[in-house]
Amino acid sequence: MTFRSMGCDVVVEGALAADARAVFERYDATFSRFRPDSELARLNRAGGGVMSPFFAEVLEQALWASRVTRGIVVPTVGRCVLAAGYDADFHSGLDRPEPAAHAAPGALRRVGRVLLLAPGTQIDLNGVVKSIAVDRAAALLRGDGFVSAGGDIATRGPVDVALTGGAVRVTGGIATSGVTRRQWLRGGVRQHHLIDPRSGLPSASPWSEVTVCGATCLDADVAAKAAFLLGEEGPSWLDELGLPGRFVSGASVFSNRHWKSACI
Amino acid sequence: MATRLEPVHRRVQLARLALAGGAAVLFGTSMALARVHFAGHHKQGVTPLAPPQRLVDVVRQDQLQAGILAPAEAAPGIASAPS
Repeated sequence: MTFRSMGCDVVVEGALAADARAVFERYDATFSRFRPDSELARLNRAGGGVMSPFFAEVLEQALWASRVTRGIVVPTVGRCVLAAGYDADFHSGLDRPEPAAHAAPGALRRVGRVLLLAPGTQIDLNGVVKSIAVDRAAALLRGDGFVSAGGDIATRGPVDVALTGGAVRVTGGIATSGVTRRQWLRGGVRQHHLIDPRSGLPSASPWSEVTVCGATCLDADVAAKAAFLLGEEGPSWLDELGLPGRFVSGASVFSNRHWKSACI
Repeated sequence: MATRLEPVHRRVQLARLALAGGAAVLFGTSMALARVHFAGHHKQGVTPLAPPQRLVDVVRQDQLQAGILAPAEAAPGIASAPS
């Protein structure tokens, strides 16, 4: 089963207990930055407000991601992403002659289901939404199989997965973060969507892609984004956490200790 | 001769009993004091050296968990790609 959602192709292999498409549609309708009627757009416009339980649950996961990555993968960089030029669906074309702007990351406060955004703050939950949707859809599988959304994968049972210049057998989740697919030009300067919250700018990471194998797609996705943004510290950071990671830089491929020991 | 040795034997036996009794009392007192004063001697029933389950759950939830990775065994049916 293949369909399009969240700006990417979703592939489901295996028997489903319920409609996986509906799962993705619900996340897209609630968290899309490009749908003015989404709850995310409404809260960003209003500077906060009362969140639905569904929204609050995903925000909780985004704050968890921020905690476990020590503030590297954060939900408050929405304004930085916009300033870099990611202000429309990627497939509509983002190249412009004018240069990119710069914006600092914002701040938020959550009191129960009430969200308060600091002035100018735009939240962007794309760091976790797609992988959460993948995990939720994979939970609907009756037996072995997998769900993939644009290459972020959750498996039930072992699944062989192709990577740039290789393949591995994965049980759990695997995700790749990188800039090889989503790049655009602003004033002739290359921009991408992986914002480093320490600078508010697209990351100057030496890696073009980072792949991580996690217990879930969410674990893998958050770890891959953080390892990418941490640059040269990425491999050792993943090793400290016991996570296998694979790093691509140009034509070179580098694996951390845990990846090497798993794939010998 | 036997009559002269008899009191000696009795005193020796008494001395042995006194020493053995004293040693037993000393040992018992030492054990009791050790149980009361030293942490290594348990005072109540033994409980397993494990953190509370609630704490384990919280710590596990606050960590990124690794999946199971192995060399591929067949032609891949899906690819992981940058997102």
